[in-house]
Amino acid sequence: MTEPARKSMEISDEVAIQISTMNKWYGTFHVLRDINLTVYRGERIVICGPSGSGKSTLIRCINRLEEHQAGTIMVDGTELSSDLKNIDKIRSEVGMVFQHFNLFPHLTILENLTLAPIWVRKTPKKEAEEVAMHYLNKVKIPEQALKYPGQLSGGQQQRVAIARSLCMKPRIMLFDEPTSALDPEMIKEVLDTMIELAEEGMTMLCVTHEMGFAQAVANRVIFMDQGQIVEQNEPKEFFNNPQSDRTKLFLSQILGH
Amino acid sequence: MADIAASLTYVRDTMIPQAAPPTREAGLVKWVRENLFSSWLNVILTALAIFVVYKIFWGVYPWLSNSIWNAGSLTECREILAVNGVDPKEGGACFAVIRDRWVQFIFGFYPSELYWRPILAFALFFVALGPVLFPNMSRKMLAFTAIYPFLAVWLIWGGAFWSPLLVLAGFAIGYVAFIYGTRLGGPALGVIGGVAVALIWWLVLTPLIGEGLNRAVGSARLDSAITTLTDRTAALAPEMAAIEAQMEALEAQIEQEVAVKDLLVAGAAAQIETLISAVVLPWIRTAVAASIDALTGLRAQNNDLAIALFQTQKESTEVRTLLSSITALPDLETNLPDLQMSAAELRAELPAAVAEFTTLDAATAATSEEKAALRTTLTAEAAAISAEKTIRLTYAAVGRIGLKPVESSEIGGFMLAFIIGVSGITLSLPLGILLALGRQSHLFIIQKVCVGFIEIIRGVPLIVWLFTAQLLLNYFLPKGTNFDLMLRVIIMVTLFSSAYIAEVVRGGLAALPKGQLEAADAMGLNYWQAMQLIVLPQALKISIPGIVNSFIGLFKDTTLVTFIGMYDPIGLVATTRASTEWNGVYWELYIFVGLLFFAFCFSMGRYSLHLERKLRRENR
Repeated sequence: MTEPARKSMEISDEVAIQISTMNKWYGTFHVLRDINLTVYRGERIVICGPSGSGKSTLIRCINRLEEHQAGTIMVDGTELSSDLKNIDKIRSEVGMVFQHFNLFPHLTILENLTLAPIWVRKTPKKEAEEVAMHYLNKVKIPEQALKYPGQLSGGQQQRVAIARSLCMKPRIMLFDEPTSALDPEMIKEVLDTMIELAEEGMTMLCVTHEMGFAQAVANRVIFMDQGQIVEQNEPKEFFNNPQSDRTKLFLSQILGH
Repeated sequence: MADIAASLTYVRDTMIPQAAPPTREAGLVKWVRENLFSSWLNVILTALAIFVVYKIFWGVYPWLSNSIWNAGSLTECREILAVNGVDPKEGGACFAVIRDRWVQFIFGFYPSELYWRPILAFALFFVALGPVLFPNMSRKMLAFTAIYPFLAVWLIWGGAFWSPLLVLAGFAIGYVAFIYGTRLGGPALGVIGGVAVALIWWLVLTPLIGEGLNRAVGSARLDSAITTLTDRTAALAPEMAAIEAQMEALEAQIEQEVAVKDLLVAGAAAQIETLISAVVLPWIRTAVAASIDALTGLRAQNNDLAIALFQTQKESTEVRTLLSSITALPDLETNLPDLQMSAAELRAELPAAVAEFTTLDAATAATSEEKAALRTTLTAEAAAISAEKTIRLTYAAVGRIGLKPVESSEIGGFMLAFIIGVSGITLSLPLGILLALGRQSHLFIIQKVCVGFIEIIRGVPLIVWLFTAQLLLNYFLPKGTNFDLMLRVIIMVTLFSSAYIAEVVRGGLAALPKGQLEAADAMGLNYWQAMQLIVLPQALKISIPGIVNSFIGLFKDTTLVTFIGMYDPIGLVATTRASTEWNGVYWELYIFVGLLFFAFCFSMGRYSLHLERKLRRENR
């Protein structure tokens, strides 16, 4: 990410996500401990940390792919509880991009993109296809619309996955290590797409180890270890002047080689 | 060091374009060498295999090539073989039995004048199957597929035309109840309400409406029915007499022809023994063949006459029974309330010790007086029930607009196997999928019920379930409901197969990456949408070989119904061999039955391969 950071994006004081003293256990294992996090609309947050630190679990709790056991999570003013209606409402407004893309291999790219708008939003098929083509143009692969996911490269698949989330017109996007499964040559095309998205003011939570991306677009970097938030700061301060020893060790290891 | 590095420096200035692969050193010789004689072990195995195939072929070939297709009994087959001078060690197949009995093997004891109905149902089956198997056919055809089961049942079993419509209406009414129930109190209430309303419709209202229609049409037709039936009785007697006379003449002719044939056969035997036969024997052979041909023709005529006679006799009995019931109808109808009332009174007056019993055997502790009272009551009740039944059946017979009803016990042969197999296959797939989903469910009770069901059904042999269907099921049903045996068998076969399908589908579900369901969840699809659109299409695709395997197994397992007294093809083999003509034939019959089953199972297997290939091509 050699492009200069263009941090012209506005951040409003409207709260998008409010997590307070949230705890989660896997059996007896305490994965997330007293998480407090407020995300404002338009914020781009990068979450990093060693593996097993709970960063993926944290963002998967936000759209209830994982269930938390204590504390509260409010998304767009709706509290996540076991009420199925709330969960469906939140899920249709929060887009998610996975490490392994999770495209539907039995459907064409276009069908992948129009599925949720047609079945969840009840958009007419023709309109959904127009929207889908718009976003495929945006991620620069409209010519692949009628192919199946298996025929695309990893980078193309991940861009399709991003376009698929965008077709639901989400207000928040969650990225769970979107580039970790990609060849080095393909990482850039995915990150470019994400940067473009950030520039349009999308609220983004991104679990990634791409520190270049963090410096280019994030306005906050969160470092997690052992299920808790250890440090958070704006990128410049975070990278140049880390406060905790754990952060310093982590940064020296991922930036050192 | 530096020198070495310099000598290793290399920069490519042109990229090599893609080239065609070298043409293979083709030819038969290469293929044979590679595939048959690549090593000494393979040479030996190839030689061994060729030897075994040769042995089997030459063991079977003479038997097949000497086969007799035209004879009236196994004895005649043997006579012809002897006249033809076939080496007794080689023998010859007597496929004449198949020519004689194949119709029975296909239709069982289905009335022969009504064969067009199952044939039509069978032909329409392929019309209904087309759009299911080949999705590029018109989607509108699926409407016919949906109606087909009702049409087929009506064609095969007959009955009034409104019965399939009433059953269909049950689905529509159940669906409406489901919609309103969902609107009032959510999907759970919708499902329960829909099922309950449909069940009430089928079990209570359908029989009532059917009877009402019978009665309405029947009473309107009563007078004209009496006239037609009387006329018919008068016409039937001379018809029967004519047929009988014809048969008598024919039987004399057959006897004559048999005598001629016996003479020829004896002559041939004598000739063979004396070995001076070069001129005479060929002539005798031709004469025997001609005689057998004549015999076959005569016997066919005789057989047709026998069937005609049987049908006329049957009709005559039916007509007379119906006529007498119609004549008795007014009396029965006036007496019925009295009968019922007196039965009820008797029951009310019964001594306390036996008041609840409905059979004499149950009242073990009763005194002889109490028993006598119970016996009187039961007799009165039976009389009332029988009168009521006669009235109902008479109206049903007179008031039916539709096809002549056929009993399930008359259905047999391959038709029976096909009906049970196809119904089992069609019903067990959706049930198996639901069971597989239930087994994966997070809802504790649903999951345990599904697991228990699958394990119990799978853990007990099918034959036990069939005996259960035959003997035990009626104990669990309310008294008086007489479930058709075939329906009970279909239910059991379906349940049995669905347990296997469930496990196969579960394998497919387990093979699916977890991310697929997560992606569906993250997009806001609800459970059923995620299953229908994302999970099942992929899981079923993986499961196709296993599912088709289960289907093929189910289809062949239908032969087990022979043990509960149904005449499937295997059962008919026993029946055929019990006849005097064909006692001693077995290979030929089992080959025929085996080939019929093979044809169906093989085409299922081929379709499965086609489907797999097609889906692989589409998604790759």
